[in-house]
Amino acid sequence: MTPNNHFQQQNNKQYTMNIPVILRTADQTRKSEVNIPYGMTGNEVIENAVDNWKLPKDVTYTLVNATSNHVLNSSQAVSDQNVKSGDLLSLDNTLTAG
Amino acid sequence: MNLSAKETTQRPNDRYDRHRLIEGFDQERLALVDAIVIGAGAVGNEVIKNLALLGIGRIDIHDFDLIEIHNLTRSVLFHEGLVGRSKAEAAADACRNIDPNVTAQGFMGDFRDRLSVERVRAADAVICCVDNHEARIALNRLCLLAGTPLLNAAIDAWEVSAEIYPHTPTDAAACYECWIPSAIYESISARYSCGGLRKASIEQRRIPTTTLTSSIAGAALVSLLLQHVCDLPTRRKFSVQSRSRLLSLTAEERMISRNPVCPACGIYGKLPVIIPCRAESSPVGIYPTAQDEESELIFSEPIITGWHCSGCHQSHALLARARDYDTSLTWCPECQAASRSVSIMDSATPSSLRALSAGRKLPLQFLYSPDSRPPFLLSLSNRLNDDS
Repeated sequence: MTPNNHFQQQNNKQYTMNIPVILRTADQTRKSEVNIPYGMTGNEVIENAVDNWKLPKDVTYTLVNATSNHVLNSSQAVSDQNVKSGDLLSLDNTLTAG
Repeated sequence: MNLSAKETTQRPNDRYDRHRLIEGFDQERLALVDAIVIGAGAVGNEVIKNLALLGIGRIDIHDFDLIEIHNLTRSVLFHEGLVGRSKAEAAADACRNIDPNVTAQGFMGDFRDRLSVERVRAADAVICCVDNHEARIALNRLCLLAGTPLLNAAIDAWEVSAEIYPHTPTDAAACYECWIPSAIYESISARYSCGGLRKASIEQRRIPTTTLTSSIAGAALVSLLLQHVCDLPTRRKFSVQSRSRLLSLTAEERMISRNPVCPACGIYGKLPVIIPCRAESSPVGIYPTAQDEESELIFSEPIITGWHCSGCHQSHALLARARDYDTSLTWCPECQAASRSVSIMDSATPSSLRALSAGRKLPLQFLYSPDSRPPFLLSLSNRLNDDS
């Protein structure tokens, strides 16, 4: 995943400050240091990761702060959910079957 | 555990003898637990089996499915001779065979038709073992209204998720909808037309699972239930080591924060006063105050009130659940086109509801008024086996 420029120009929004984190898939086959701009939502982070890592699009993903063990709300800005510099964020599959 | 000769003869006829040797394990408390299990599939089978083996007092099981041959690889309670039978009823029979002390009942049908808010409020917990998010959302809202803990699990072939939502009105705990991604609501919406009717051509995606993940889910859910309901000590850590390539066990505990803009707990989490009334009567004169006449009543689910054809201008009034129909309702045989527009409502004021129903039976589980002081819920339950 390309850090910095790709996130900052996402959706034509201009972001100024970033939170450097480590983003990975749940099975840990993908992992990258990225800078998440302030104001970027969990959905936007997920969408970016799916596109860049060519992850299956028929899966619903949930973003989890694996450092604080908190499930992040995908509609809210990541920066508003106590994500700190250096935190490990995991892209988990949202399971359905029972 | 090695027992002395004295210990093994103290309770020779007590089936729960080994439970009583576990510190903090209160068998008498377990015998008072009242659990409702929604879904008797792969996870449901494991949950029901565990509840019965533990000697849980009462288990109500809801499922609308019949047993099929492919279920048997993940359903410990079923066998080939039961293919074609109701999952809920077969699972209840199996419960009683495991432990005759357990009161088990199986309800064949959709829980939205059979399960009243009163019954949910009376239970210690609802355990959600369904296979789709729509049902989970409906159960979440039902448990929020009742103030009853909801336990939920989901699996695939390799992973398990098990959650507990206490739903106590005094704390700030999250509900199921506080965290689910918006993509879930989008995928649900994609299965419906813009009018709110289910698309006739959409089939549910089949997700493969195995007994390995369903059994872990069942153990996790019942463990959460015991911790919450029976205050089992949590200081002990159960560790499992596996050297199998097939199964790698890593358990992570995650916290979910309450979502300030959650579509559910902000509306449904007000613990309303429940007012029972019969479904066939019009809710006239039963509102607590005159101001309630102006309050919006939220339906338990959307209902179809009629259709109008833009081609031949025919109209027809209906009062039916939207989930009982699909987009084929828009087809007009006179015009040979999808020219009917269907009216669907999910809320109304009392006056418009009276005009709409005109004394007819409302096909709803409840009517909910979140803005009244206090909030109230009109329970329209007249279920045959609802003995809350």
